[in-house]
Amino acid sequence: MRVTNTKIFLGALVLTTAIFVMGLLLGLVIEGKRVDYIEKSSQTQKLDFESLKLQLLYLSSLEGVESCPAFSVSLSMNIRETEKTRERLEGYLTDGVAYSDEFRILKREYVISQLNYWILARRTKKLCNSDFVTVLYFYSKKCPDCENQGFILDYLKKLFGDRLLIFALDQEFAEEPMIQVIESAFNVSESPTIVVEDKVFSGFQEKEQLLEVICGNYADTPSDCP
Amino acid sequence: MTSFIMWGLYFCSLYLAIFWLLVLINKYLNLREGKDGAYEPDVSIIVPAYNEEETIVSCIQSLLSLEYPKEKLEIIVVNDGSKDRTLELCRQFGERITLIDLPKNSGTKAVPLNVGLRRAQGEIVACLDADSIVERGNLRKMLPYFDAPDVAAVTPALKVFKPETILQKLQWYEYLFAILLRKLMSLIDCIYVTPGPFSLYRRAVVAELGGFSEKNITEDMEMALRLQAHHYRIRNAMDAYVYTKAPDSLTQLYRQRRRWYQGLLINSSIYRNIFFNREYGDFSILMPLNVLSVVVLMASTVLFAYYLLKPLVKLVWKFLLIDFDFIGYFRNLSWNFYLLDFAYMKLFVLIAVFMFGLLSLYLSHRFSRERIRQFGLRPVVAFSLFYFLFLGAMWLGVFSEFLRGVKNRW
Repeated sequence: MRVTNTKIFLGALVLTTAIFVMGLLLGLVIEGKRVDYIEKSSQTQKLDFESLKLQLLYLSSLEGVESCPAFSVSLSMNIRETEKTRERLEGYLTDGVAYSDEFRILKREYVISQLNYWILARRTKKLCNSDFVTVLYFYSKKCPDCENQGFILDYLKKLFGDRLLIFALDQEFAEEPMIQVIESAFNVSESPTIVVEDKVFSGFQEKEQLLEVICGNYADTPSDCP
Repeated sequence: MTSFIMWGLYFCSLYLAIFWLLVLINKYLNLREGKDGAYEPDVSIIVPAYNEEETIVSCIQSLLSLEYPKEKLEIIVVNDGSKDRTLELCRQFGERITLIDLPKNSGTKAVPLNVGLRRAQGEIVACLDADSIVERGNLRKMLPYFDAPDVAAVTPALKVFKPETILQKLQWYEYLFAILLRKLMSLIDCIYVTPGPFSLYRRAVVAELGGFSEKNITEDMEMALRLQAHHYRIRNAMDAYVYTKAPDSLTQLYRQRRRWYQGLLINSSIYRNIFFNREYGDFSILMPLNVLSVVVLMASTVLFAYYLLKPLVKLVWKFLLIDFDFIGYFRNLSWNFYLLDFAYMKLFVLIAVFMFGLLSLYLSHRFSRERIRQFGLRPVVAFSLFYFLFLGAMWLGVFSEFLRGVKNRW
């Protein structure tokens, strides 16, 4: 009978598992930090939104629109920040192991603030005659075209900057009923669906098509328009 | 699904690395290396040669200059029906070598080896491929390892002979790794190849087992497995360097690997009764572990290609959708980067795997007494990053050919 060094075989197994457990623990610690970070940003963003609402209330009580440009700038800046954090949150949610519930609650907060901003933007447009276009983008993780559609919208956003406000809504996110309310208001049934101002486009849209529709909504046509 | 496979692969490769490290710590540190003994038996060296006119002379010369009493050394060159000047070149050595001339090429190396074996007188026989060169002190370094009757073979440490092309330099590092691994395997009696270049055998044992298998494509591996199957021990003399010519073109390299890898597959299946058979101790677990390493290697190659190519294809497709308007896309590039965004668990395990890679690179150089930056930094970086994928790709090719070959035969 030859020797079997069971100790070595098992020892290696234990050590390997230990390294994996250490990695797992590190991952959990980091995930906890991520929750903290998103929570903090969410609080700040809520305050920012309250402030904007207050500013708009004040502006609408005035006769003139002199303060409108300054307001528009802070509005689009806030929307940009919210969008950044929301995208990051989506990433964390995909990686999430232990804190999925926390992340979903946070996601709900972000969906609400997105929709708040969407409504605020539409009101600002009327009140201040601002020359920007708002887009609602309904997507789902399962739809095969959504990744490419998102990329095209991302590209358009890069072309037009603050003059194009895109709000991406996850159709599968059932926790927030407001998404369904808007979906039924615009008769959205497919994914992807894009709502430019009030016009609904179902299914995948080519770049040219979207460019034409968006450009048609500007009073002062940007140079990137065809 | 793919992420589960990926974690599985991380786990397996980490396990293999840690396992060998533990073997090293457990055995080597308690072992006194550098054998010196007065064991001085008659030694016969068999050199099978088929169309080796370029290397045969330096091969025989290196054997003639071995530090060993001339009357105890017998050099048998078996010309296996060469069509070039091999025979003529061998004749010039006259009485100093025994020359056997087979009129017709026999197709496998085992036939000339067995012919030489029958002729050999020595207590110990050595085999040496004609494309290899030995160092002068090798016999003195290797013979003391025959310190027990159950030690049937002693293997040397193979190095690439004067690597010139980048392909040979990459193989240089691979051979150094093999030196380390073979030593580690010998520590738990798990060597499963006694390489063609200068492995020493007890002649009586080899004769008793019936000589080299003439049908096997890797007769050296088959011999080692047969010795293992009969519970003989195979030792390793890590400081006995043998220099062998490595293939310098991809086709040649692939052909060589096809022989090796198919040999491993065929011989593993011939000796499958060793797998998990407690009678064989460590070796019964090590053989399956070897198979596992090959599977891990192939799977990681596929997965790596998948993770590299899929996003690339997707990205190209996306840019096609925006008519490759890079200027528009990158004009307002905003930097969205945050330290928390890294996937730390993956990173942690990857770093662990990487550290073991570096450690084994260091150890393999230390064990074979070479400098890491022998050929500058570039080959060693290329080796560390890509060579295992390259091996994986070759394995995939050989494996698919093997599967198709089996089908054809049926």
